[in-house]
Amino acid sequence: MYELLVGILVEELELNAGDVRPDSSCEDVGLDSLAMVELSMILQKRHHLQISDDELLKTKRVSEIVRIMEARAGS
Amino acid sequence: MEHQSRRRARGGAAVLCGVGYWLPPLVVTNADLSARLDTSDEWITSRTGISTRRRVTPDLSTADLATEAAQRAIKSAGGGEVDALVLGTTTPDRLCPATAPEVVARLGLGYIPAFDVSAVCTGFLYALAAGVGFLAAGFAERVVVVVAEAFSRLLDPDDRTTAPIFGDGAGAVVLRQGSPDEPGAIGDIILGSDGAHSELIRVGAEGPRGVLENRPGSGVAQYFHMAGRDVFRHAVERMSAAATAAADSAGWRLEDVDRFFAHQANARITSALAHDLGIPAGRAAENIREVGNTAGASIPILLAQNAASGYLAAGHRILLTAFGGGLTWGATTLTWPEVDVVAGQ
Repeated sequence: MYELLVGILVEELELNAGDVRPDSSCEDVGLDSLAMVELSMILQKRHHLQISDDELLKTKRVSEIVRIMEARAGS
Repeated sequence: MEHQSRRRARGGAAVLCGVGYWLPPLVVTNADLSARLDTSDEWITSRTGISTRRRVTPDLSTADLATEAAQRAIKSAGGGEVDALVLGTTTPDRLCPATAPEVVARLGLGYIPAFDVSAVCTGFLYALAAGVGFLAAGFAERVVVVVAEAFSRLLDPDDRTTAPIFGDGAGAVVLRQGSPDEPGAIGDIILGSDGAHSELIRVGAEGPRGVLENRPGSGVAQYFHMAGRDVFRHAVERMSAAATAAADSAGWRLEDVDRFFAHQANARITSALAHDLGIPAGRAAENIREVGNTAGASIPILLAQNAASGYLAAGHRILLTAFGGGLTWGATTLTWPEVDVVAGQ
């Protein structure tokens, strides 16, 4: 899931690959509120992971987003 | 997703034969805005893709913008008679009367029918549909469709989420009667609205209080508000669906589209939309960096600028899509004709 997320952040949201690590803060990576909406839409539409932008906006770190993705994929 | 599809007239078509645009001369940079707002060039550019925008000065009205753009479009069309004028605008100079009749008078077009259309950032496609309708019904042989926006007049100067985004300007096209196989023939126009979300993009306060405050004489400042995150989602979904429907109607695959003209709301919306549709890289026209979000005038300004630069050339299959307050949305297709363009500064 981490690799999936990194792929989306770098290739689709065009964020800087060098900024993305599991312990990176969402802010440092460039995940502002609009980017979280985009991420939510991509996860829902292309990867069938129903995660709302409200849920994503509550996360502080990249690792937290990965945890939600893993939990949602398993359910 | 539901759409209201406007079909072409039986046998005939509306054909684009002229295009023009005009931008007010005052340029406002991100640095200018950062001097008074808690923002920065980096913040504005990274969130919106905008570096500069044009703004009307107090001596310029919406009628001024519309007249300049329409004049250029009529010249582009080789002059000639005009039988009707449709003005799309979110910023009419008065609540009453419409601004369109004054534009007709200033253009010296006589006593032809003229009216305003209000669909915010979808204004061009709605006004285009109205113009196509006049031609289809036989009410006119040639119609000017002009969109003019002085959105800066609606903005809260202290709101850093909206003040940097909008720019002022006008764009216009001339339509004539023709045949559906001609270059310039307007394809089926996909239009839709969703009033259940009318609060997401609005002028004035939310709910019933906003309606009361919008009455003349209320003395309450009326500013533009937009719920950015919700609008982003609706915009990408509705424009994606409308654009797909318009391309299908034209019998085109999305990879057949040579040039993609999306309303310039935000560079990231355009990018997300192009990704969603699978439009090949390098085919999406953009001007948001220089002129900001010019609301309903966005698409005709883009068409005129890109026709002037040669990025848009005769024979190109083009797909247009827009989304705006209402909520409203729309899309259409055409193959670009040979047309001279008058630069609009």
